[in-house]
Amino acid sequence: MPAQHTEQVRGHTAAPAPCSLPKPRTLSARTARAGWLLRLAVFAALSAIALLFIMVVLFALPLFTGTAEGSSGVFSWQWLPASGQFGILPMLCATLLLAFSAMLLAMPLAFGICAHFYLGQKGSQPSLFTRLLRATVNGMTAIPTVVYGFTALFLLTPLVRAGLGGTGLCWLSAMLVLALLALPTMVLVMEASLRPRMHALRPTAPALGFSPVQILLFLGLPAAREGILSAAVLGFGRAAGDTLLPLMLSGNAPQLAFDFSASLRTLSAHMALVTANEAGSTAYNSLFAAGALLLLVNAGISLMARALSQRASANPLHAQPKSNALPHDILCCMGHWGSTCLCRLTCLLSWLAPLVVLGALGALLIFLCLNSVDALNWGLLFGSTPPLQALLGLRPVWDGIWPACLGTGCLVLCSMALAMLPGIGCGIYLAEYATAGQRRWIGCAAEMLAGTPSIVMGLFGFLVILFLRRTLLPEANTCLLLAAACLALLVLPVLIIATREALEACPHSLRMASAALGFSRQQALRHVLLPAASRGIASGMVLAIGRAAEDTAVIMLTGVVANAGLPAGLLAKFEALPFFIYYTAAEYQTDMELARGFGAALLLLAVALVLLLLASFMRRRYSIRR
Amino acid sequence: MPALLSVRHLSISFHERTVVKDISLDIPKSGITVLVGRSGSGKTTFLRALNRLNEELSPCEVRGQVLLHCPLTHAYQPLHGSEPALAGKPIQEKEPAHVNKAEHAKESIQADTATQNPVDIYQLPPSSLPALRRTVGMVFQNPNVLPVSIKRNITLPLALVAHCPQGELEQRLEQALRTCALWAEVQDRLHAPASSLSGGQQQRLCLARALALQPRLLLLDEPTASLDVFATQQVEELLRALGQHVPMVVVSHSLAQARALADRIFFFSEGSLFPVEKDDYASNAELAALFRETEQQTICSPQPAL
Ligand SMILES: Nc1ncnc2c1ncn2[C@@H]1O[C@H](COP(=O)(O)OP(=O)(O)O)[C@@H](O)[C@H]1O
Ligand SMILES: [Mg+2]
Repeated sequence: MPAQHTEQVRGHTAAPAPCSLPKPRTLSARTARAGWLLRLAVFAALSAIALLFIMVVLFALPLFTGTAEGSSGVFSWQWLPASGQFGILPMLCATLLLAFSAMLLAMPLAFGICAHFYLGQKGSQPSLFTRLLRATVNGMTAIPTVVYGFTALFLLTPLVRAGLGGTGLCWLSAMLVLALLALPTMVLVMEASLRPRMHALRPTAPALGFSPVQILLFLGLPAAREGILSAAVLGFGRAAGDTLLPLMLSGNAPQLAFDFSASLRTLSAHMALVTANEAGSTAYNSLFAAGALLLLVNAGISLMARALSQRASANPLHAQPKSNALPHDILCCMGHWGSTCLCRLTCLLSWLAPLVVLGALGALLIFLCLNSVDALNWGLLFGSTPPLQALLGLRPVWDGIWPACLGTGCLVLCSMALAMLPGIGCGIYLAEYATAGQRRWIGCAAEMLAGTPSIVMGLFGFLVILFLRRTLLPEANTCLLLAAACLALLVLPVLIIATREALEACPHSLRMASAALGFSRQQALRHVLLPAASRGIASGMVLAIGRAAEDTAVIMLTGVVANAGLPAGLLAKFEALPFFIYYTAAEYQTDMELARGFGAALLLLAVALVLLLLASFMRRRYSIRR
Repeated sequence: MPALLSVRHLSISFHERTVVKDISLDIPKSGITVLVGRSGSGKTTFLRALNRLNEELSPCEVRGQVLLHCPLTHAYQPLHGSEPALAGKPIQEKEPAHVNKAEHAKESIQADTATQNPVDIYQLPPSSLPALRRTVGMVFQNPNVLPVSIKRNITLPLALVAHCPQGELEQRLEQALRTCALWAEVQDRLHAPASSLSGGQQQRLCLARALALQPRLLLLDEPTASLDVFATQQVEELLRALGQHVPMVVVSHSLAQARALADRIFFFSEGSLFPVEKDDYASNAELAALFRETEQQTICSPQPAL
């Protein structure tokens, strides 16, 4: 009886015969068009990225196709400019060798540190040591490379010299410090991929009687293999793209190296050296080729990392390790004894790696502090000039780092002014307006730019000047504005990614509430979403400032000099703090100058760390608020 | 009774999965329409379809029509007397001097023509969507206040969406808050962040925010689902009183609530809709089961200690 009634009710609503149904409409809110300012920002950012790639490729192309004069010499094994031989293949080998060895060294360290995060804690609360380790790893991302290089030059190379003989400027020294440099990136990437998978295993795996090490080794690790691989790839990229450490620590002999005490010269160091020494000679050809090769290597690495992260996100958390997964096989064929050994080894590593890294870092830091103690006074900044008069610009500062500090300040200010609109605008566009296709390729462009070595950005600036000299402005020269523009390009991806992530982290209910109240997309963005995301964006800006302040490779090719005095204008040469440190390492005459170098390094480190703290504080406040 | 909104053969799918299936329904110009049904049966999706909010979430495919028999409110609208002013004393009608007369006239013409020709809201261009959502307001399951102050929560949409002149904001703010029985509670902390309010207060603030925009129809998606017993009572009372003035469509998962509020009840099951006579729950086996469940829930739920 009730069933009959139901039928009747059903009949009642379905009674009107379906008229000819119109075609279904697919509706999506993403069709809204961005305002002109946003589109301008995206255009500026994309054309800057495109220009960078085009310039580098255009200058290098004649060498690859063999149409330029003397081009045959570039891809050969001899670098003897005096006798007209400009081969850069040894440099390419050195870059790959050095980066690969540094990555190999950093890999177990990074894994050990990650393992410590899971195995090292006793209760549910992380111990003090674990928290210190975490903070250190985060802090390491902000340490300027020139500070690493400067400190290691005076602490590590004497030790290596004592151990291996020679000058101490060799493969080994550069490799050790590069491993330290690449480590935080690798730990963070590895941890980001391990954490959700370990979390997903939490209730079940311990209940089956697995010990924490076994869970990590045989369940977590195979599930997170893409993350481990991309950690390796990104670590390699970081090591291959760095300029300052090889330049300061590896001796720079253009040769093939076969043992750790041999000196070698990487592509990046080669570029810095050629622009510094060989003004306007045919050696420039090798510069273009080196830049293009470096760009190629790192673009490949960005694409690889991107593909890996896409595979990882397609890989669900609970996926079975494939039967051909390596650790699984090892487990099967090595039996009980082997797996126990492996577990023991991992436990050992989970304590050894943190201790080694903290020890090395602590040694560098203490050495830096001890040596800069003498220089930490007003004299460091202003030399013998009275501080007040120097501040007011009444009297020039000759033997202090005040002009360099001011130069860096101006540089950062200009580059942020240039990068702000394109960076934030592009981030907003990606988060709010871009179609799926645009998101893919604009995101890809931003990632490629993020992976581009800073020396290539510097090369870009250098090429722009060369181009201008050959065409419109014969007297164009490198200057503050050019350096700031190149630095802007360097920090652009930081801004884009931070803005995009901050906006995407806005809770969905906020968008729905704004839409339901009748806000247009622009209104919702301007009055609701951007205020809600402002802290995330601001923390991205602070990180970008830190990045612009510490970079040395870019400005070395775009107009920094050792003694220009106070910054004299946008079109003038300038001084900068990181370059001052590098320059002191190479050219110091007296102990006093050396101490000033240490003081400057400590100052730069302090600034970088304070900026990092500020950024993470902002981000934390922001994530609590939402 | 003349219809305010007519739904004709409406189907909605996400990623090839049909969530709302060929629904036809008239929503009259007054009274409260309640939709009940199990969770996952498509109630929220149907409700969102009435002011095109589904497409804000993710791409969706829509068939059929939703005809609106009143004009969209595009421009500034002065306060009018019929505005509910339940908790506070009625505020006398007062037209500010700078009302744009021409615009006002244009709108009344629009109203005349619109009653003859209902608009299919799915034919509206994206630029008209803000006006649609202003005409058909919505309150969500979880109180989603904007992360600004209590006052700004109401005045921001008033200024941006309703183009309300600056001088009138305070008055409208007070009226909206009084209507929702919130004025006494927040009067002296209007500048505090809205998230500092309790859940029930936040939900009433959301209601006040929606009402301040003078919607022709108000959609409420399980407005009491995230509230405790006291706050639920408060909001229910409020809705009953408001229902006299603003037509509403309310989604509820509790039949007791539906019975208390509704002028009409519809039952939702797997994307289809059945009308329910008010006292006739036993007619449908599924409905009867749902009814028993919710009755039991209310019996078993702990009595508030007084
Ligand atoms: N934006 C969306 N994308 C994909 N699926 C959705 C979306 N919104 C709702 N659904 C699906 O539609 C079904 C009905 O959801 P909903 O309307 O929220 O039900 P109710 O409100 O009755 O609990 C659910 O199975 C849900 O998974
Ligand atoms: Mg729902």
